Amino acid sequence: MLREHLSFDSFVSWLQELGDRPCGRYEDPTGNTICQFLREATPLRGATLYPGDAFARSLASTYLVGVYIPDEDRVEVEPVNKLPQWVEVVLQLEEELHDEAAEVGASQVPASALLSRLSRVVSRLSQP
Amino acid sequence: MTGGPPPSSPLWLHLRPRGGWRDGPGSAWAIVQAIGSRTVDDPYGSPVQTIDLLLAVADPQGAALLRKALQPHIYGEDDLPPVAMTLRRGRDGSRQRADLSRHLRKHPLVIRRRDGSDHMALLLVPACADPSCRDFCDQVMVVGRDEQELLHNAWRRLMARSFLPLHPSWEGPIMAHLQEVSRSWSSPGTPPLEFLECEGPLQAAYLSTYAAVGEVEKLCKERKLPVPTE
Repeated sequence: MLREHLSFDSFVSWLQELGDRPCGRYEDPTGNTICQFLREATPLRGATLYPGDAFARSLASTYLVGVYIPDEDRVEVEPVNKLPQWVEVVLQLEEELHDEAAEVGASQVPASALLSRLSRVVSRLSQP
Repeated sequence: MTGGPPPSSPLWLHLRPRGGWRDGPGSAWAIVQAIGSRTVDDPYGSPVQTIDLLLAVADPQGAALLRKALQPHIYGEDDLPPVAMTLRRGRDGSRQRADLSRHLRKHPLVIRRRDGSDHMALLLVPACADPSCRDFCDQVMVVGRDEQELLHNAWRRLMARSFLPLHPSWEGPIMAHLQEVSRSWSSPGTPPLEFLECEGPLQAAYLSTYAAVGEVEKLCKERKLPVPTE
């Protein structure tokens, strides 16, 4: 169900609608761009990005996306690396853009900036 | 002086290459926190202290010897470890042979951190703390600097290992329940969390995924977990 709602085209349309309004906040469990998209543009609820296991061999966290599916009254949780590749790319770009914004003293990133950066790497994405 | 546990002298680990002098050249000391240690009788010698998890601060020579002591466990050799280790409380206390093989198994995870001096901190945790072993081992060790951090780390582990999807917002109710049932566990089998006696900067516990998920299933059936709303 989570995968069904993670459509790249829907995500891009949602970003376009946001225009110059801020996109998600990097490292915010519920306010990051992917979870914001899932909450605002799909019927899923409770979208949360969570570092599920920081004790991986590389000591890098394995991030999980958890959602609640109201129609089925159940929770679904998937590791980010098992979701379509563009999800991980968006999270990486979000991190990059927030780092760049912080360097110039800004705290928010306009959705249009994320869209622009995304369009530059979109050809590399393996779309579902 | 009021309150708090009585101060105890630190635990020291003495390391020497096997066959070397007892306190001679080539030997080294490390100050350690040994968690899950227990005395095991050895029919062929004096009792030995087995250790589940070790946090050690050592100079370069001590750190090198400690790494060497792990080699038979890392490479799965049955040979006698090339380093002899003894534990003692205070450098004047009685010595007891130490053994790291009980739970470190064949591939312990070693995390090294340098401090400001030439000394190094080494955290040796059991193999089943490594995700590559998670499919084969139900119990994993979790650590934290205090009980709150320990429970948070246990929750992260549980989320990553559970076959039942766990929503991140359930951390509070689930961990409070697991803590409560584990403290009062009287059934056969292992509790979801087996808290180890710890004296030092780290707290540790074994998380049994199967038992923990069983408890979560009970909470789900009783509808005691909130519906994620945000």
